[in-house]
Amino acid sequence: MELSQHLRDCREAQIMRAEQYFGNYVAQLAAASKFPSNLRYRAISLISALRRHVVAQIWEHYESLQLTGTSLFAAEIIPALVTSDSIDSDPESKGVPLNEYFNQLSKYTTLKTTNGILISYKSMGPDLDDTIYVRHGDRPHLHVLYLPPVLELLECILDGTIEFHDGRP
Amino acid sequence: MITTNLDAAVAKATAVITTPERELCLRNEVVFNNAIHSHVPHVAAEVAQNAIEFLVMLRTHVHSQNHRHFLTLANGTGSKWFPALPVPQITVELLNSMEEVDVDETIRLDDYLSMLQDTYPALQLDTMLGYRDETQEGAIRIGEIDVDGQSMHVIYLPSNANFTDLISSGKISI
Repeated sequence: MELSQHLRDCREAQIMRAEQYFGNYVAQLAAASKFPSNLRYRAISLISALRRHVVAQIWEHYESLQLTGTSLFAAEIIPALVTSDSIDSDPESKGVPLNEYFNQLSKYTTLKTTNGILISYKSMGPDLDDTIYVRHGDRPHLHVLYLPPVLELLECILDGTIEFHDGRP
Repeated sequence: MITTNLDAAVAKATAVITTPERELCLRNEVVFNNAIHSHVPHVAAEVAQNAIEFLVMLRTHVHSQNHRHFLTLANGTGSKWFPALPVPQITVELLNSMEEVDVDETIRLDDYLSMLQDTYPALQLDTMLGYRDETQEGAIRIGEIDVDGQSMHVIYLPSNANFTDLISSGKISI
């Protein structure tokens, strides 16, 4: 079934927006020269895997909307950067760490995008704001992936707060 | 709270650049992100990081050049930087093989950058001016296409394996 023009436009806008976020983030990682290249490469590898997942999940969300009139499983997801304004003290709206989000997604057995991508991601940080986390957006079926500032992400990988393997050799 | 933050971020991003520039910028983002991503898993970390740093600099140059192109257009017939002619808009393509590129119809990236510098002396090419290409025909080549009656320049990036080989062997460098 052909995706309607409106849905196609929405999908394209969300994917393009995600690309811009990830592009800027990777550029900052590449420029963080006080960290060794091996560590920056690791971080870029994580961000690349996240980008792949986010784009694929947005894609599947709109396919599902077209087929059923509602999203069968995965909400669309967009990235954002953690700022002091985005940290909410209300535990009900704080969201969940990325690994927990992926655990929740795994109940959608037809969703192929999580398989082998970030399956081994773990965060040992005591607070959400020093790791990667996901919370609801401002409308149904919208999830927001919050990335920490670039230097904090590198520190988290360096000190082992964030561990991951993107499922590839 | 989230609504406010996201809306403000999007509004800020869209307010400072025109729609055509935004569309071109985001299209280029996809290609650069694909190029950056596809380099990660196949080579040693040091080489991958070098390739990524190179692509990020190229990405910065492309965005900057396009911003100046659209800024000049928005100012009418010229601006203090480009009094007669806007700097060409530019896009990027990731190739599977350099055999896809017609050498007679394209020029080397280093020659292109020299031409840009000669034609638009006020165009800041600080990062890319250090680009060195020791290969015979040029590892990265530039072509020209017609888009809706407007000339657009295209950077043809070599395949992943060739690209990282060229960087690790020192044949191209910044």
